[in-house]
Amino acid sequence: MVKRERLGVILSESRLPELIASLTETYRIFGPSKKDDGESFAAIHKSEELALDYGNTKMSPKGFFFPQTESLMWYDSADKKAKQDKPEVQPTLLFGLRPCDALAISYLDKVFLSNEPQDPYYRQRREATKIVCLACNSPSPTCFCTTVGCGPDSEKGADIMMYKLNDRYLMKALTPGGEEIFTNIDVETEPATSQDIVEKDDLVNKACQMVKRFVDIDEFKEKLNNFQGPWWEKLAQKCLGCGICTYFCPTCHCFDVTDEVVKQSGRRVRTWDSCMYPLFTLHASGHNPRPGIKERMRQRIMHKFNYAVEYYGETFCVGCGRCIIHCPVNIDIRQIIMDIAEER
Amino acid sequence: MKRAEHEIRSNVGKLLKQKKIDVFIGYEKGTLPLRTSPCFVSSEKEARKLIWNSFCTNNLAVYLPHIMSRVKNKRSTRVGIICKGCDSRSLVELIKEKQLTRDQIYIIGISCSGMVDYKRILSQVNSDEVIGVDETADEITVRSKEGERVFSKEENLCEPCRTCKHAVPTVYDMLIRTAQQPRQATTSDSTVHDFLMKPREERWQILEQELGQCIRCYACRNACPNCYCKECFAEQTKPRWFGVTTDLTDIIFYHTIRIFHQAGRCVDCGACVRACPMNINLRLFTRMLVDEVKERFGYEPGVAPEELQPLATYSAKDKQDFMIEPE
Ligand code: SF4
Ligand code: SF4
Ligand code: SF4
Ligand code: SF4
Ligand code: SF4
Repeated sequence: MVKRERLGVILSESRLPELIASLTETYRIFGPSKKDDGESFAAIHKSEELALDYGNTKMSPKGFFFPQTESLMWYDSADKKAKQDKPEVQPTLLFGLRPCDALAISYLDKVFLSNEPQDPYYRQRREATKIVCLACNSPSPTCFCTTVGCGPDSEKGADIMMYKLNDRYLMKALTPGGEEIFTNIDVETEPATSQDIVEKDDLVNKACQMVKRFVDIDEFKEKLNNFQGPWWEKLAQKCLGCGICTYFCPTCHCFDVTDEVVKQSGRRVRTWDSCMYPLFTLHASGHNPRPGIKERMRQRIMHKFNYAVEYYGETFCVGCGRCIIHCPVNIDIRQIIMDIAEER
Repeated sequence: MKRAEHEIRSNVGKLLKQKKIDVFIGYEKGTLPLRTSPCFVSSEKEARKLIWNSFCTNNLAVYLPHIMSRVKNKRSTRVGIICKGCDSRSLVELIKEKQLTRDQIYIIGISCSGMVDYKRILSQVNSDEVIGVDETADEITVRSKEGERVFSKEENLCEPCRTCKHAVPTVYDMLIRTAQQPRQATTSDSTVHDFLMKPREERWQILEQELGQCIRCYACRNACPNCYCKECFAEQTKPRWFGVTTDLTDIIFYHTIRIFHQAGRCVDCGACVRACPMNINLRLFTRMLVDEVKERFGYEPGVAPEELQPLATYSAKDKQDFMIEPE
């Protein structure tokens, strides 16, 4: 058991193997994997498999709770019964998640869990999972978390927060879930001192300076109250209408439900959907309130920066930069924000 | 490169000023190093942001069917566009398929010396540290916090450029030559041949491994100028031709049909491969079609504007050995 300390505890990097070994006794661990230089989260059994100096994963971690393809139930009209696939509910740890992704998960929690009825599929996986978040010491050039209310040391969504200080980790339990992890493990730590906190703050400051704050986000949000703004047409002109920006986004959560029926039996599946697609909100009549790329682009930006603020009090962009990196025509959401903010 | 860029700017500026075109589709500076971005300019002033370098990879022909289907006055609207060899081949096919008429477009062709694959270069440096990039006739210099690194263009070309035999546009209204020689590949591509030589199980494994990573973002389809259908089979619901999931059967179905729809039409520009965020080697499959069509019908898409498309015509000499007689 790791004792609770006011300022957190210090774990020497040389004890990381022990920490992981101890954690694996209680939890399944997923972390940034050495196999692909931290491009993805994979099952971790030993600390050597971890690539904790990674930037961020290619795909966001939302698939852990909200997989791209999910069978909701199987049915057969002959016996009039439906069967459900049981999602795995083993205690799980996401280890070394970046702060933006942890924040994004807290937003997904709001979408899937804050209103009745809750989403039972999401809930089962989510409740079994705890998040150990690793603060960023060297953000990427595409990161803009500090502009959208997140940051390299953002704690929301994390059960435990970890900071890498040279050859030591500063760890803090932030939630009862985090405390529980600490009681479940057996590894030698020391109480953190105020000197450690100064060191941490210094690193966080440096990291924050590396993330450019490029625009007054409030001015941009204000402009969005004009649904008919003249900018949409031009902004959407080069967009190809693919699913990349929404599928890579850690906060996008739209899905479609389809019945696959062969004769009398079938399954109901849930799959990711995207507002950039032509089938999104297509009515049975053939009418689509978002008939073209302009309206679809508007939906994506408005949902993140306007509607979500209204529904959940949060901006549904955490500044991870994934949509910027992968857009095939280099549409940059930072540029969109600037262009709209500066429009007179 | 700089001279070509200057020529593009001044010519586009003139064309817009003289109202010979209403809008021009070209490239502007990207927001990330080693990237460019398609752009639409409609004034002489805006034309100054046009650029030209070895990262102008997007096939801009993809925008034309869409623009043409939206303009109100089809007769009088004229769109200018910059075309590399492969982009012009796409235009030729679009014209043959009656998505455009030749006089609706003004083509500034650029004799192309091959495009550089930015992903390949980024995979060799710490991409987070890159500050800027410069280029000369044969080299790319990447400046980063760790210092400078020089890459040979030849070694970092986009795959289709390695074997490109038509780098000078096959249609144009004005041709701009860069300081470099246009690319003229002498070798042909052995990837398909190598693939076919492998035992069946191994081929299946490769197929599974490549396509198994697909996330069905449809960027490959949407980046392709040939995929202009108002309603793609992938989105039809009455009937729904195949499932919506990322199960391998659904993914393979999507790719098989999409690739078959490219038969005799794919110009091997590589737009689909470059758009794919999962770096799936789609060209392995499209390339096979290109070879097959050439072998069976002697047709190379986009090369000769007068030639009829093999699937839109009939010749008694067409090979028929693919037909299977019922026993
Ligand atoms: S990734 Fe880029 S091209 Fe694709 S839908 Fe998003 S903005 Fe458009
Ligand atoms: S909109 Fe882009 S930058 Fe913002 S959270 Fe989504 S993927 Fe990240
Ligand atoms: S509507 Fe669009 S932006 Fe909003 S969550 Fe869905 S896919 Fe993402
Ligand atoms: S395929 Fe040919 S024309 Fe196209 S970019 Fe490559 S070398 Fe240029
Ligand atoms: S671009 Fe790549 S990931 Fe997206 S649908 Fe095509 S093959 Fe799949």
